[in-house]
Amino acid sequence: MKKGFEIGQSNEIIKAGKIYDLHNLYDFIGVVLKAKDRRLQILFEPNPEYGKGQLPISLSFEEIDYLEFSPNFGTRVISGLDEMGYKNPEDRDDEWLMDEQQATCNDHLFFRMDGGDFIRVHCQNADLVEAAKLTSI
Amino acid sequence: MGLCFYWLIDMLNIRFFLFLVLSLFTSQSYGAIWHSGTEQFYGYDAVAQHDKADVTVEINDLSIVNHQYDGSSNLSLCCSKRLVRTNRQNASEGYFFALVSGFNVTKGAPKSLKDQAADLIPQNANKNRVTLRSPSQKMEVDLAGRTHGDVPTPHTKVSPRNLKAPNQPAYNTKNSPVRPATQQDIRTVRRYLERQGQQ
Repeated sequence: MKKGFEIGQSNEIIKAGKIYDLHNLYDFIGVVLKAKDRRLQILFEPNPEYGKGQLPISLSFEEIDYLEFSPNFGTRVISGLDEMGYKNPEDRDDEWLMDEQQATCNDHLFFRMDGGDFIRVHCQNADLVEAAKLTSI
Repeated sequence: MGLCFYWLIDMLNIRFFLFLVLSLFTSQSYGAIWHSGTEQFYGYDAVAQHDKADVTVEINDLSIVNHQYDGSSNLSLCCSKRLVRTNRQNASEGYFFALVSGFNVTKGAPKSLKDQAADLIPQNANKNRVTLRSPSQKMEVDLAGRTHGDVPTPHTKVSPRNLKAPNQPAYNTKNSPVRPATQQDIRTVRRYLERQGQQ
């Protein structure tokens, strides 16, 4: 998986030296899945209280070869991201996550949301896009 | 004659000040902050919820720590270039603080945990989270930011180390609940950041 970003602490994505604190400063908006193109977007917008001055961001995944949502994903309100990390494809124990230094390009990206739901994804290209307005792919 | 008069007045002022300080040591007015007479504010935290680094008072937009405690028995009260050293203190980790009036005192009490945590963000390269790791656990403290699990910031997540994980060190994450940060958490973070800053 080629990524245009790195995971810092489990709450942060770092791109071009800028830290995006998805856990503390952003609200989770939703996902956009375009299955026929194997593309996924995870959308966040700045929290009105703590994210002032930040722009909405989209995590985009192209040429997806693994995608998994937790069984109840989308059936409950998800307000934010809990943590991020990596999992080995064979490892189903998501009680613990690997950090950027421990992960390899074959490992899945794991997004644990508030409430315990998760998104687990692997693709060929992943990036973070900052935009004045969120748009779908 | 005039010199003797001024010397007498000066001595009386010093004695009055010392009397005020010593009376505080014996008054056992725990946790109280009060205005004594016309010149001084005093506070005492006998339950040791705070240490000296927690007590900062904004005076004319300057943040100062206006006392020094050597960790054993000596406490210095320093205000407006005046220093008083006492010989004993009733609480092992309590503190006094004193302010001379005439300053613009905006806060006379220890800062809230929320404010103390927010003050640490610049020392943390303007990041909201501090992650501390030990051989047995990982502690993540969010100094500011969104509420999670109905727990507002500052909040803390402590994850025990998962020794069964193949890639070590690995820490449990999923089942670690978020709890409100304690004064001790904030103190630990502050000391960690101070050590980082010294390196």
